[in-house]
Amino acid sequence: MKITLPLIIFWCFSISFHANSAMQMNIDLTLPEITQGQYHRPYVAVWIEDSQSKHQTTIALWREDKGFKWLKDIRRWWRKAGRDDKALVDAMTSATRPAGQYQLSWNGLSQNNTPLEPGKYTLLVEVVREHGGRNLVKHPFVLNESFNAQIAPTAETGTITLTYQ
Amino acid sequence: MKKSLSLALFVLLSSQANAHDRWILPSHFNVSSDKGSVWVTSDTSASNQVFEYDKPFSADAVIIQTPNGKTDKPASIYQGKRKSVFDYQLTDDGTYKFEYPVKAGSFTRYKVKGEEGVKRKRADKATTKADAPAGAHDFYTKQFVSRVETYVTLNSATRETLAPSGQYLELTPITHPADIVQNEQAVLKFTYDGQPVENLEVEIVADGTMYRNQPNKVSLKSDAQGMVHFTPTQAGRYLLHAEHSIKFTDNKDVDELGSSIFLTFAVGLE
Repeated sequence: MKITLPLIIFWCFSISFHANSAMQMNIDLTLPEITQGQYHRPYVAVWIEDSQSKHQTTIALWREDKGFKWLKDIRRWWRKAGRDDKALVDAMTSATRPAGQYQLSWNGLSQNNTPLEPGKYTLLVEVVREHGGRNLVKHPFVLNESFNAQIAPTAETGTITLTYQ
Repeated sequence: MKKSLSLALFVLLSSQANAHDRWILPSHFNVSSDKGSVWVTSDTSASNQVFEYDKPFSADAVIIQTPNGKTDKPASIYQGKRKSVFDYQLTDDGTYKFEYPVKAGSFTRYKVKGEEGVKRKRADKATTKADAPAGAHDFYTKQFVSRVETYVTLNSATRETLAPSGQYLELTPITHPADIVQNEQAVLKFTYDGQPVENLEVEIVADGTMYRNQPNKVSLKSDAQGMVHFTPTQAGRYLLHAEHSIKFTDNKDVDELGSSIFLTFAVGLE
Protein backbone atom coordinates (compact mmCIF):
# COMPACT_ATOMS: atom_id res chain seq x y z
CA MET A 1 0.00 0.00 0.00
CA LYS A 2 2.88 2.30 0.83
CA ILE A 3 4.20 1.80 -2.67
CA THR A 4 0.91 1.85 -4.50
CA LEU A 5 -0.24 5.28 -3.43
CA PRO A 6 2.74 7.27 -4.75
CA LEU A 7 2.63 5.13 -7.85
CA ILE A 8 -0.98 6.06 -8.48
CA ILE A 9 -0.19 9.72 -7.89
CA PHE A 10 2.75 9.47 -10.26
CA TRP A 11 0.57 7.76 -12.82
CA CYS A 12 -2.07 10.51 -12.61
CA PHE A 13 0.62 13.10 -13.14
CA SER A 14 2.00 11.20 -16.07
CA ILE A 15 -1.41 11.07 -17.65
CA SER A 16 -2.11 14.73 -17.22
CA PHE A 17 1.28 15.90 -18.44
CA HIS A 18 2.10 13.36 -21.12
CA ALA A 19 -1.30 12.42 -22.32
CA ASN A 20 0.06 10.84 -25.49
CA SER A 21 3.14 9.06 -24.26
CA ALA A 22 2.28 7.59 -20.90
CA MET A 23 0.15 4.58 -21.45
CA GLN A 24 -0.17 1.96 -18.78
CA MET A 25 0.04 -1.77 -19.12
CA ASN A 26 -1.92 -3.80 -16.64
CA ILE A 27 -0.84 -7.37 -16.21
CA ASP A 28 -3.18 -9.85 -14.56
CA LEU A 29 -0.96 -12.76 -13.65
CA THR A 30 -2.24 -16.05 -12.32
CA LEU A 31 -0.05 -18.60 -10.62
CA PRO A 32 -1.90 -21.88 -10.95
CA GLU A 33 -2.73 -24.18 -8.09
CA ILE A 34 -0.39 -27.15 -8.40
CA THR A 35 -1.26 -30.16 -6.30
CA GLN A 36 1.03 -32.77 -7.78
CA GLY A 37 4.47 -33.34 -6.31
CA GLN A 38 6.34 -31.15 -3.88
CA TYR A 39 5.11 -27.60 -4.06
CA HIS A 40 7.44 -24.68 -3.64
CA ARG A 41 6.33 -21.17 -4.43
CA PRO A 42 7.70 -20.20 -7.81
CA TYR A 43 10.32 -17.64 -8.63
CA VAL A 44 8.81 -15.08 -10.94
CA ALA A 45 10.27 -12.36 -13.14
CA VAL A 46 8.25 -10.00 -15.30
CA TRP A 47 10.13 -7.62 -17.53
CA ILE A 48 10.30 -5.72 -20.81
CA GLU A 49 12.85 -6.24 -23.58
CA ASP A 50 13.33 -4.14 -26.70
CA SER A 51 13.38 -5.50 -30.25
CA GLN A 52 17.08 -6.40 -29.81
CA SER A 53 16.14 -8.57 -26.79
CA LYS A 54 17.79 -6.07 -24.46
CA HIS A 55 16.38 -5.68 -20.98
CA GLN A 56 14.58 -2.37 -20.46
CA THR A 57 12.87 -2.65 -17.14
CA THR A 58 11.95 -5.28 -14.59
CA ILE A 59 8.35 -5.02 -13.44
CA ALA A 60 8.45 -7.75 -10.80
CA LEU A 61 10.94 -10.15 -9.26
CA TRP A 62 9.63 -12.58 -6.69
CA ARG A 63 12.06 -14.92 -4.99
CA GLU A 64 12.97 -16.45 -1.63
CA ASP A 65 14.57 -14.11 0.82
CA LYS A 66 17.72 -16.24 0.85
CA GLY A 67 17.32 -17.21 -2.74
CA PHE A 68 20.13 -15.38 -4.47
CA LYS A 69 21.70 -18.69 -5.36
CA TRP A 70 18.57 -19.70 -7.27
CA LEU A 71 18.36 -16.52 -9.31
CA LYS A 72 20.39 -18.16 -12.08
CA ASP A 73 17.46 -20.53 -12.56
CA ILE A 74 15.26 -17.65 -13.72
CA ARG A 75 17.53 -18.19 -16.65
CA ARG A 76 16.63 -15.63 -19.21
CA TRP A 77 15.95 -12.84 -16.76
CA TRP A 78 19.22 -13.63 -14.98
CA ARG A 79 21.16 -13.49 -18.24
CA LYS A 80 19.48 -10.35 -19.48
CA ALA A 81 19.35 -8.31 -16.30
CA GLY A 82 20.08 -9.89 -12.93
CA ARG A 83 23.66 -11.02 -13.23
CA ASP A 84 24.94 -7.56 -14.17
CA ASP A 85 22.89 -5.49 -11.79
CA LYS A 86 22.91 -6.40 -8.13
CA ALA A 87 21.24 -3.10 -7.28
CA LEU A 88 18.34 -4.01 -9.55
CA VAL A 89 18.01 -7.40 -7.84
CA ASP A 90 18.00 -5.77 -4.41
CA ALA A 91 15.59 -3.05 -5.45
CA MET A 92 13.11 -5.29 -7.24
CA THR A 93 13.06 -8.31 -5.00
CA SER A 94 9.96 -9.18 -3.16
CA ALA A 95 8.84 -12.41 -1.58
CA THR A 96 7.51 -15.37 -3.48
CA ARG A 97 3.73 -15.58 -3.75
CA PRO A 98 1.43 -18.58 -3.40
CA ALA A 99 -0.91 -19.68 -6.15
CA GLY A 100 -3.37 -16.91 -6.91
CA GLN A 101 -4.15 -13.87 -9.02
CA TYR A 102 -1.89 -10.83 -9.04
CA GLN A 103 -2.10 -7.41 -10.61
CA LEU A 104 1.00 -5.73 -11.92
CA SER A 105 1.36 -2.57 -13.92
CA TRP A 106 3.93 -0.84 -16.04
CA ASN A 107 4.03 2.86 -16.79
CA GLY A 108 6.06 2.83 -20.01
CA LEU A 109 9.30 3.88 -18.36
CA SER A 110 12.68 2.18 -18.42
CA GLN A 111 14.47 0.99 -15.28
CA ASN A 112 15.93 4.46 -14.70
CA ASN A 113 12.53 6.12 -15.13
CA THR A 114 13.07 7.57 -18.59
CA PRO A 115 10.44 7.08 -21.31
CA LEU A 116 11.26 4.32 -23.79
CA GLU A 117 12.00 5.11 -27.42
CA PRO A 118 9.12 4.45 -29.81
CA GLY A 119 9.28 0.97 -31.27
CA LYS A 120 8.63 -2.70 -30.74
CA TYR A 121 8.96 -4.31 -27.33
CA THR A 122 8.21 -7.60 -25.68
CA LEU A 123 6.73 -8.35 -22.30
CA LEU A 124 8.23 -11.49 -20.78
CA VAL A 125 7.10 -13.58 -17.84
CA GLU A 126 9.38 -16.32 -16.54
CA VAL A 127 8.15 -18.63 -13.80
CA VAL A 128 10.42 -21.26 -12.27
CA ARG A 129 9.62 -23.66 -9.49
CA GLU A 130 11.97 -25.83 -7.45
CA HIS A 131 11.07 -29.48 -8.07
CA GLY A 132 8.77 -28.12 -10.71
CA GLY A 133 9.00 -26.73 -14.19
CA ARG A 134 9.93 -23.53 -15.90
CA ASN A 135 7.88 -21.55 -18.36
CA LEU A 136 8.79 -18.47 -20.31
CA VAL A 137 5.96 -16.64 -22.03
CA LYS A 138 6.18 -13.53 -24.18
CA HIS A 139 3.93 -10.98 -25.74
CA PRO A 140 5.24 -8.53 -28.35
CA PHE A 141 3.74 -5.05 -28.54
CA VAL A 142 4.37 -1.61 -29.99
CA LEU A 143 5.02 1.21 -27.57
CA ASN A 144 1.93 3.34 -27.10
CA GLU A 145 -0.31 1.27 -29.34
CA SER A 146 -3.10 0.01 -27.15
CA PHE A 147 -4.16 -3.62 -27.10
CA ASN A 148 -5.90 -6.24 -25.03
CA ALA A 149 -4.49 -9.73 -25.04
CA GLN A 150 -4.44 -13.02 -23.22
CA ILE A 151 -1.44 -15.30 -22.95
CA ALA A 152 -2.55 -18.91 -22.87
CA PRO A 153 -1.80 -20.85 -19.71
CA THR A 154 1.22 -23.12 -19.36
CA ALA A 155 2.11 -25.60 -16.62
CA GLU A 156 3.56 -22.89 -14.40
CA THR A 157 1.53 -19.87 -15.52
CA GLY A 158 -2.21 -19.41 -15.57
CA THR A 159 -3.91 -17.17 -18.10
CA ILE A 160 -2.17 -13.81 -18.24
CA THR A 161 -4.41 -10.92 -19.24
CA LEU A 162 -2.80 -7.80 -20.65
CA THR A 163 -4.45 -4.45 -21.16
CA TYR A 164 -2.48 -1.55 -22.53
CA GLN A 165 -4.11 1.86 -22.76
CA MET B 1 48.65 -51.13 -11.26
CA LYS B 2 51.33 -51.06 -13.88
CA LYS B 3 48.69 -51.56 -16.50
CA SER B 4 46.49 -48.71 -15.34
CA LEU B 5 49.45 -46.40 -15.10
CA SER B 6 50.54 -47.12 -18.65
CA LEU B 7 46.94 -46.72 -19.73
CA ALA B 8 46.77 -43.31 -18.11
CA LEU B 9 50.04 -42.40 -19.73
CA PHE B 10 48.75 -43.57 -23.06
CA VAL B 11 45.67 -41.40 -22.71
CA LEU B 12 47.78 -38.42 -21.76
CA LEU B 13 50.14 -38.83 -24.64
CA SER B 14 47.93 -40.12 -27.35
CA SER B 15 46.33 -36.83 -28.29
CA GLN B 16 48.11 -36.91 -31.63
CA ALA B 17 46.36 -40.17 -32.37
CA ASN B 18 43.16 -38.54 -31.25
CA ALA B 19 42.15 -41.67 -29.46
CA HIS B 20 39.99 -39.99 -26.87
CA ASP B 21 38.30 -36.72 -26.25
CA ARG B 22 39.47 -35.06 -23.10
CA TRP B 23 37.37 -32.72 -21.11
CA ILE B 24 36.78 -30.73 -17.95
CA LEU B 25 33.12 -30.80 -16.98
CA PRO B 26 32.12 -28.30 -14.30
CA SER B 27 29.07 -28.90 -12.12
CA HIS B 28 27.88 -25.37 -12.92
CA PHE B 29 28.63 -23.06 -15.81
CA ASN B 30 26.72 -20.14 -14.32
CA VAL B 31 26.18 -19.48 -10.64
CA SER B 32 24.48 -16.67 -8.74
CA SER B 33 25.36 -15.62 -5.22
CA ASP B 34 25.30 -12.63 -2.93
CA LYS B 35 27.51 -14.39 -0.38
CA GLY B 36 30.75 -13.64 -2.16
CA SER B 37 31.83 -17.21 -2.76
CA VAL B 38 30.49 -20.38 -4.31
CA TRP B 39 32.00 -23.85 -4.57
CA VAL B 40 32.00 -25.55 -7.92
CA THR B 41 33.14 -29.10 -8.58
CA SER B 42 34.47 -30.42 -11.89
CA ASP B 43 35.16 -33.81 -13.42
CA THR B 44 38.03 -34.52 -15.76
CA SER B 45 38.20 -37.61 -17.90
CA ALA B 46 39.04 -38.89 -21.35
CA SER B 47 36.48 -40.82 -23.32
CA ASN B 48 35.21 -41.67 -26.75
CA GLN B 49 31.66 -40.84 -25.77
CA VAL B 50 30.94 -37.33 -24.68
CA PHE B 51 30.96 -36.92 -20.91
CA GLU B 52 31.09 -40.64 -20.14
CA TYR B 53 33.76 -41.26 -17.53
CA ASP B 54 36.26 -43.60 -19.09
CA LYS B 55 39.99 -43.06 -18.70
CA PRO B 56 41.47 -41.21 -15.75
CA PHE B 57 42.75 -37.85 -16.79
CA SER B 58 44.47 -36.29 -13.83
CA ALA B 59 43.35 -32.92 -12.53
CA ASP B 60 46.77 -32.22 -10.96
CA ALA B 61 47.80 -29.96 -13.78
CA VAL B 62 44.59 -27.95 -13.91
CA ILE B 63 45.01 -24.22 -13.52
CA ILE B 64 42.33 -21.64 -13.01
CA GLN B 65 42.42 -18.15 -14.46
CA THR B 66 40.46 -15.82 -12.22
CA PRO B 67 38.52 -12.75 -13.40
CA ASN B 68 40.98 -10.47 -11.62
CA GLY B 69 43.94 -11.77 -13.58
CA LYS B 70 45.37 -14.30 -11.11
CA THR B 71 46.27 -17.91 -11.71
CA ASP B 72 45.01 -20.38 -9.14
CA LYS B 73 44.96 -24.13 -8.45
CA PRO B 74 42.11 -26.46 -7.51
CA ALA B 75 41.36 -26.55 -3.79
CA SER B 76 41.18 -30.34 -3.66
CA ILE B 77 41.61 -33.20 -6.08
CA TYR B 78 40.31 -36.73 -6.08
CA GLN B 79 42.00 -39.12 -8.46
CA GLY B 80 39.76 -41.98 -9.47
CA LYS B 81 40.11 -44.86 -11.87
CA ARG B 82 37.79 -43.40 -14.47
CA LYS B 83 37.91 -39.73 -13.67
CA SER B 84 39.43 -37.05 -11.53
CA VAL B 85 37.44 -34.52 -9.57
CA PHE B 86 38.53 -31.11 -8.44
CA ASP B 87 36.78 -28.50 -6.35
CA TYR B 88 37.22 -24.78 -6.61
CA GLN B 89 35.76 -21.84 -4.76
CA LEU B 90 34.74 -18.89 -6.88
CA THR B 91 35.26 -15.76 -4.82
CA ASP B 92 35.02 -12.86 -7.25
CA ASP B 93 32.24 -11.96 -9.64
CA GLY B 94 33.17 -12.70 -13.20
CA THR B 95 34.21 -15.44 -15.58
CA TYR B 96 36.80 -18.05 -14.62
CA LYS B 97 38.69 -20.23 -17.04
CA PHE B 98 39.52 -23.82 -16.00
CA GLU B 99 42.23 -25.29 -18.19
CA TYR B 100 45.08 -27.66 -18.70
CA PRO B 101 48.07 -25.50 -19.43
CA VAL B 102 49.57 -26.07 -22.83
CA LYS B 103 52.48 -28.50 -22.73
CA ALA B 104 54.24 -29.80 -25.78
CA GLY B 105 54.86 -33.52 -26.22
CA SER B 106 56.49 -35.49 -29.02
CA PHE B 107 55.87 -38.75 -30.79
CA THR B 108 58.36 -40.25 -33.22
CA ARG B 109 57.87 -43.10 -35.65
CA TYR B 110 60.57 -44.84 -37.64
CA LYS B 111 61.37 -47.97 -39.58
CA VAL B 112 64.08 -50.55 -39.02
CA LYS B 113 65.84 -52.15 -41.95
CA GLY B 114 64.88 -55.77 -42.33
CA GLU B 115 61.87 -55.47 -40.03
CA GLU B 116 58.22 -55.18 -40.86
CA GLY B 117 56.07 -52.23 -39.91
CA VAL B 118 56.53 -48.92 -38.19
CA LYS B 119 58.02 -48.42 -34.73
CA ARG B 120 56.71 -45.70 -32.47
CA LYS B 121 58.15 -43.94 -29.49
CA ARG B 122 56.81 -41.18 -27.29
CA ALA B 123 59.91 -39.07 -27.49
CA ASP B 124 61.52 -36.40 -29.59
CA LYS B 125 63.66 -37.24 -32.59
CA ALA B 126 67.05 -37.05 -30.86
CA THR B 127 66.01 -39.39 -28.02
CA THR B 128 64.35 -41.82 -30.42
CA LYS B 129 67.40 -41.88 -32.69
CA ALA B 130 69.72 -42.49 -29.75
CA ASP B 131 67.62 -45.47 -28.60
CA ALA B 132 66.86 -46.94 -32.03
CA PRO B 133 68.86 -49.87 -33.39
CA ALA B 134 71.44 -49.34 -36.09
CA GLY B 135 69.90 -49.08 -39.54
CA ALA B 136 66.74 -47.34 -38.33
CA HIS B 137 65.49 -44.80 -40.86
CA ASP B 138 62.55 -42.61 -41.91
CA PHE B 139 62.26 -40.83 -38.59
CA TYR B 140 59.12 -38.71 -38.44
CA THR B 141 58.40 -36.64 -35.34
CA LYS B 142 55.08 -35.10 -34.54
CA GLN B 143 54.93 -32.59 -31.76
CA PHE B 144 51.56 -32.02 -30.22
CA VAL B 145 50.07 -29.43 -27.95
CA SER B 146 46.54 -29.34 -26.71
CA ARG B 147 44.19 -27.18 -24.74
CA VAL B 148 41.39 -28.56 -22.61
CA GLU B 149 39.25 -25.80 -21.22
CA THR B 150 35.96 -24.53 -19.92
CA TYR B 151 34.48 -21.33 -18.49
CA VAL B 152 32.50 -20.80 -15.31
CA THR B 153 30.79 -17.53 -14.42
CA LEU B 154 29.88 -16.21 -10.98
CA ASN B 155 27.21 -13.50 -11.28
CA SER B 156 28.25 -11.01 -13.96
CA ALA B 157 30.02 -12.29 -17.06
CA THR B 158 33.44 -10.75 -17.72
CA ARG B 159 35.72 -11.07 -20.73
CA GLU B 160 39.29 -10.84 -19.37
CA THR B 161 39.79 -14.61 -19.17
CA LEU B 162 38.52 -15.10 -22.73
CA ALA B 163 41.51 -13.33 -24.27
CA PRO B 164 43.92 -15.56 -26.21
CA SER B 165 47.57 -15.86 -25.25
CA GLY B 166 48.79 -15.80 -28.86
CA GLN B 167 50.31 -19.29 -28.78
CA TYR B 168 49.31 -22.30 -30.84
CA LEU B 169 45.68 -23.04 -31.69
CA GLU B 170 43.30 -21.04 -29.56
CA LEU B 171 39.61 -20.43 -29.27
CA THR B 172 38.33 -17.00 -28.35
CA PRO B 173 34.62 -16.88 -27.58
CA ILE B 174 33.13 -13.85 -29.33
CA THR B 175 29.74 -14.77 -27.92
CA HIS B 176 30.43 -14.99 -24.20
CA PRO B 177 30.16 -18.61 -22.99
CA ALA B 178 27.57 -17.46 -20.45
CA ASP B 179 25.47 -16.13 -23.35
CA ILE B 180 25.38 -19.17 -25.61
CA VAL B 181 21.67 -19.87 -25.81
CA GLN B 182 19.46 -22.14 -27.89
CA ASN B 183 18.13 -20.64 -31.13
CA GLU B 184 20.59 -17.74 -30.97
CA GLN B 185 23.68 -17.59 -33.10
CA ALA B 186 26.94 -18.09 -31.23
CA VAL B 187 30.30 -16.99 -32.64
CA LEU B 188 33.73 -18.38 -31.79
CA LYS B 189 37.07 -17.28 -33.19
CA PHE B 190 40.01 -19.56 -33.89
CA THR B 191 43.58 -18.34 -34.10
CA TYR B 192 46.97 -19.96 -34.47
CA ASP B 193 49.83 -18.02 -32.87
CA GLY B 194 47.41 -15.11 -32.74
CA GLN B 195 46.51 -15.21 -36.44
CA PRO B 196 43.03 -16.23 -37.68
CA VAL B 197 42.82 -19.81 -38.96
CA GLU B 198 40.74 -20.30 -42.08
CA ASN B 199 39.06 -23.60 -42.98
CA LEU B 200 39.64 -25.14 -39.57
CA GLU B 201 37.34 -28.08 -39.00
CA VAL B 202 35.43 -27.71 -35.78
CA GLU B 203 33.25 -30.43 -34.35
CA ILE B 204 30.63 -29.79 -31.69
CA VAL B 205 29.00 -32.81 -30.06
CA ALA B 206 26.02 -32.75 -27.70
CA ASP B 207 26.14 -34.55 -24.36
CA GLY B 208 24.66 -38.04 -24.15
CA THR B 209 26.07 -39.81 -27.22
CA MET B 210 25.72 -43.10 -25.35
CA TYR B 211 21.93 -42.83 -25.45
CA ARG B 212 21.58 -41.96 -29.10
CA ASN B 213 22.07 -43.91 -32.29
CA GLN B 214 23.69 -40.91 -33.93
CA PRO B 215 26.34 -38.78 -32.24
CA ASN B 216 24.35 -35.58 -32.86
CA LYS B 217 27.29 -33.48 -33.85
CA VAL B 218 27.79 -30.48 -36.07
CA SER B 219 30.88 -30.06 -38.20
CA LEU B 220 31.73 -26.50 -39.04
CA LYS B 221 34.51 -24.67 -40.84
CA SER B 222 36.06 -21.38 -39.87
CA ASP B 223 35.87 -18.48 -42.32
CA ALA B 224 38.72 -16.19 -43.44
CA GLN B 225 38.52 -14.33 -40.12
CA GLY B 226 38.77 -17.58 -38.19
CA MET B 227 35.13 -17.27 -37.16
CA VAL B 228 32.76 -20.15 -36.64
CA HIS B 229 29.04 -19.39 -36.45
CA PHE B 230 26.48 -21.83 -35.17
CA THR B 231 22.97 -21.76 -33.79
CA PRO B 232 22.30 -24.55 -31.29
CA THR B 233 18.74 -25.77 -31.34
CA GLN B 234 18.98 -27.69 -28.05
CA ALA B 235 20.02 -26.48 -24.63
CA GLY B 236 22.52 -28.69 -22.86
CA ARG B 237 26.19 -29.47 -22.49
CA TYR B 238 28.49 -29.73 -25.47
CA LEU B 239 32.06 -30.70 -26.25
CA LEU B 240 33.89 -28.85 -28.99
CA HIS B 241 36.97 -30.29 -30.65
CA ALA B 242 39.25 -28.77 -33.27
CA GLU B 243 42.65 -29.76 -34.50
CA HIS B 244 45.21 -27.88 -36.52
CA SER B 245 48.33 -29.33 -38.08
CA ILE B 246 51.40 -27.77 -39.67
CA LYS B 247 54.03 -29.77 -41.55
CA PHE B 248 57.61 -28.61 -41.63
CA THR B 249 60.11 -29.37 -44.35
CA ASP B 250 62.88 -27.23 -42.89
CA ASN B 251 62.89 -28.47 -39.31
CA LYS B 252 65.24 -31.36 -38.51
CA ASP B 253 63.72 -32.02 -35.09
CA VAL B 254 59.98 -31.74 -35.77
CA ASP B 255 58.19 -32.79 -38.96
CA GLU B 256 54.70 -31.92 -37.89
CA LEU B 257 53.07 -29.84 -35.18
CA GLY B 258 49.55 -30.78 -34.17
CA SER B 259 47.60 -28.39 -31.98
CA SER B 260 44.20 -29.34 -30.65
CA ILE B 261 41.55 -27.80 -28.51
CA PHE B 262 38.71 -29.19 -26.41
CA LEU B 263 36.14 -26.83 -24.99
CA THR B 264 33.28 -27.84 -22.74
CA PHE B 265 30.39 -25.40 -22.76
CA ALA B 266 26.70 -25.19 -21.99
CA VAL B 267 23.91 -23.95 -24.20
CA GLY B 268 21.32 -22.23 -22.06
CA LEU B 269 17.56 -22.44 -22.40
CA GLU B 270 16.06 -19.58 -24.35
